[in-house]
Amino acid sequence: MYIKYQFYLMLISLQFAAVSGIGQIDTMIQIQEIVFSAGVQRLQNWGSKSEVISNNSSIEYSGKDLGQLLTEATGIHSKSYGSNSLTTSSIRGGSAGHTLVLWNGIPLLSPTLGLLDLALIPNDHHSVVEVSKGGTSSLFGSGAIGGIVNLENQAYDNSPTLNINVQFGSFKRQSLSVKSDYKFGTHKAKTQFSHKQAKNDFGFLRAPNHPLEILKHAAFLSTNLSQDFYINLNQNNKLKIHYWWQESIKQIPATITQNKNESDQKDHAKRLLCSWIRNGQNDMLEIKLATFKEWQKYQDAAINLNSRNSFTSLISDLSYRRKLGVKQEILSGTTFIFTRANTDGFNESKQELRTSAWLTHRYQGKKIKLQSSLRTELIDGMVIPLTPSFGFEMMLTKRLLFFGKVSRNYRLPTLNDRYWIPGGNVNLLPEIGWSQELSIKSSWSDNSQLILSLYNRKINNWILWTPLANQVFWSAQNLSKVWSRGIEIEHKQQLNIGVIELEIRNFYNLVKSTNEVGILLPNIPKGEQLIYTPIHQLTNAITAKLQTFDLTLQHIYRSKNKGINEDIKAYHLFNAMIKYETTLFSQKTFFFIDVNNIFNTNYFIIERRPMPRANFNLGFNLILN
Amino acid sequence: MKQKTLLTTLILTFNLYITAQTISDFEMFELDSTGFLNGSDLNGGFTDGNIFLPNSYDQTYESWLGWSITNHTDTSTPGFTNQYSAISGSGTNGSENYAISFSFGPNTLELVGDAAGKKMGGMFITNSTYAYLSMRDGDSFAKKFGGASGDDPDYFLLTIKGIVNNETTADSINFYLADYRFDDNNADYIIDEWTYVDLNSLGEVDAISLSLSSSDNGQFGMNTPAFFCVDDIKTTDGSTMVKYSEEKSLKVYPNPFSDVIYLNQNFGVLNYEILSLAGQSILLGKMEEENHLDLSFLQQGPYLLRFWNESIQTLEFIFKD
Repeated sequence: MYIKYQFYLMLISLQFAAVSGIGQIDTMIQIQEIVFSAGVQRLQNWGSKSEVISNNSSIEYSGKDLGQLLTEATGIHSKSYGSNSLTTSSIRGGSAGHTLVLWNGIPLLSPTLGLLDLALIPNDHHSVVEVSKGGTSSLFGSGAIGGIVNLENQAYDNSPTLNINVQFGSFKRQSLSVKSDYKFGTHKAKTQFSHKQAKNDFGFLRAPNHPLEILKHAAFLSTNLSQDFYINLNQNNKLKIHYWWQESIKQIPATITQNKNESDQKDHAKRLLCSWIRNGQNDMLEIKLATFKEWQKYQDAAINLNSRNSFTSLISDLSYRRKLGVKQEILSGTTFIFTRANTDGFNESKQELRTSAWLTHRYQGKKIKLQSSLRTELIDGMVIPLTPSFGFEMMLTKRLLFFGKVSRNYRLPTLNDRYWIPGGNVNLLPEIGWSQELSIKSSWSDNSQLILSLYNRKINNWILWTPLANQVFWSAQNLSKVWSRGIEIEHKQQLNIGVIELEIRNFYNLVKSTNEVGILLPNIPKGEQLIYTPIHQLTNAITAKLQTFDLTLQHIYRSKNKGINEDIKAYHLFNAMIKYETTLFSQKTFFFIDVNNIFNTNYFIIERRPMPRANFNLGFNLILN
Repeated sequence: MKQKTLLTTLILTFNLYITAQTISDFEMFELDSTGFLNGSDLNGGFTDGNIFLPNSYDQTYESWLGWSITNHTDTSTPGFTNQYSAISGSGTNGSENYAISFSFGPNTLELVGDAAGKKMGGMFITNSTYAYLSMRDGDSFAKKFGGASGDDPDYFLLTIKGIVNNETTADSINFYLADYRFDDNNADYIIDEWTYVDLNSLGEVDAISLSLSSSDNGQFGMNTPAFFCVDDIKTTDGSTMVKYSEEKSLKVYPNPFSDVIYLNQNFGVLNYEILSLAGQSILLGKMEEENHLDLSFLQQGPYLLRFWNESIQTLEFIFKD
């Protein structure tokens, strides 16, 4: 324990010394301005706090999943059931279905479950991850309540390139990622393959003073293949084609209060997206056509359970941007999503058609930006109330930006909520409510940034499953109302101490997300914090760069929070990563080693689901030009 | 504990000369290849002898609540797909059929016909395989009893109360389907055999209420599967005295007696027991073909004479001159 706090003090004091005591050098790399993916720039979400994480130039997140990236790069709380097990995110106290995950702007969430398992999303297949916190339903519709995460594929400028990443680690963890960027004429293409497997046979303590046990039946295997084409039809017309195939198998381990578990889950997805972009002098048109075909099999031989669910989605998305003079522009678009789903819980295949239209107006003055949006949506003929939003950004001084947003946001009931037998409720209303946020961003130098954000959100018609009087089964009902409010502090700094370059990232979230309606079953007293939602969430990292060496120290803290059956204890995690850059066979090569959970902390994110103790990962990344 | 219970029973039944009982063993139900009746016939329940077991069946979702009749014997498959099996692997004494209860709240068992408003004798109870294996091994929702450390004081309790004029009475009988509250973990147990629960102490009832509670509770209520099984439910059938007198009879004479007491009966082999008024057992035995008992060794005074077999239980007050 003492050593652990020494480590933490060292991390903090290093940061403090770096910020307060050492002069800054003008030639340092600037913290990048946030530039969202090209196209109609629908993701440019004025008034919200946004972030872009590049996977092209960094090996930091290769071999990791999207949940890990969100925690480490943005401080977002990821709820993991264990290593490589089901992982979802909670942004600003929202539920798993309140983070809308997009793939090149197209929703990825399962229409039956209403969520996406972030552990199944490798970071090697996307050029950038764009994160925007706060409600964005006026632009992206259902599910964009807590925030959006967009996985964007982009052509790499320095093609042709072959990037090979190989990793080995504890618990028989192995991963291979191969990315190839190449040109043919003015066109570009990218082929990406990744394979990851782990036995996850890590040691855990079932209870204090108990002997260390080895987790069984926790193996994971995932293979992804993606192909992107970037075709320049002519100077003004571009065609982008993305194909993503993925398959994964995971064994479900027993909980610490279970003797054994023999269940496993297989996920399969095929996704195709074609997008045509036409650039005019004052306007831009983008049309996307996508089809997703996914299935999931869950089987438990012990209980004779073998269930399968599948869905096919056809999506068309049109967006248009037109400049109105120098300072103004309008954006508009329509989206059609047709889904057909089949699960063992439906007595027949169910289908759903969502039709939506949105309109945005932007004004950009010298010191002020304003964005107003309005969206309407029809789902199988039912009209969703209009969802407006208004965002602004004001440059108070050269280094002080004040921004904020008011928006109405919603999440539609999932197909399971509506049609599951028994308990599905076709009369469910969407979860809907207003959110407000205000932020101030201070950049006291070119290489420093401090953002303080306050937010407030109330969501009505929160869907919960409950047994009703005289009912044999649980059924979906619009039962609750959830009030989420909090403070976010984000600090980033780059500076030099002698020959050492330091990069500091600190994220602190104070999240109060409470049920405002007392419910008997599930037993949720009024005013109680949502389960698995720590009030205090802290992520700190400092990277020291010395010539070709990088050392990153990371600290993650989550305060005590409530589970379904018992409380989750607060925990501190400490991770370290050493990266060495060299040239091998005249090619740029990185060698790296991660040591995670250095102090062997026994911790849980989800009750009864043990997380790995100290473990390591080592590998190399070879870039062939 | 056993003697105290017996004493209570004896005092309560002191003035009864003979108490004929009907046993509901569910063997009258003919089960098809599914091996269960879960109320899909929409009859609203099952009647056997003097009892009615209510059932609520949802046609849309093909689900049931209350009681089902079953002959399932699977003692090894965990989970809800094996919701119709008793952990004992059969009904009592290897019989085929038995009843299984599933309910979120209290379940009821109603007395009908001549048994309504009278005392219940008792019934055999055991765990369902689903609940038993869930408590023993844990599952995705419920903990294994004892918890991660093995020391959690867990329990799965069946509380039985009488219902008179639609009001639940204060008296109750607690029967632990599992009990892990002992300091010595070796004493922890989960019921895996049919166990007789005497219900006489509930007094005269119209019905009984059966409620499950567990130490394993979460936000979604009780995690332990809310199932248990019953068989051979014994009810007091007041009018059967007359009926039995026509068809079957049991007579003890003379009373008062001197040395030998005679028995005239056609119930077959009977167990017997001579007890003091304090409930102490004095003589225990079985009467097969003989028709008398030599009680010359007894001192002068009052005694209790109990006879029982699978179809009758009687208690006689006798006096030695």
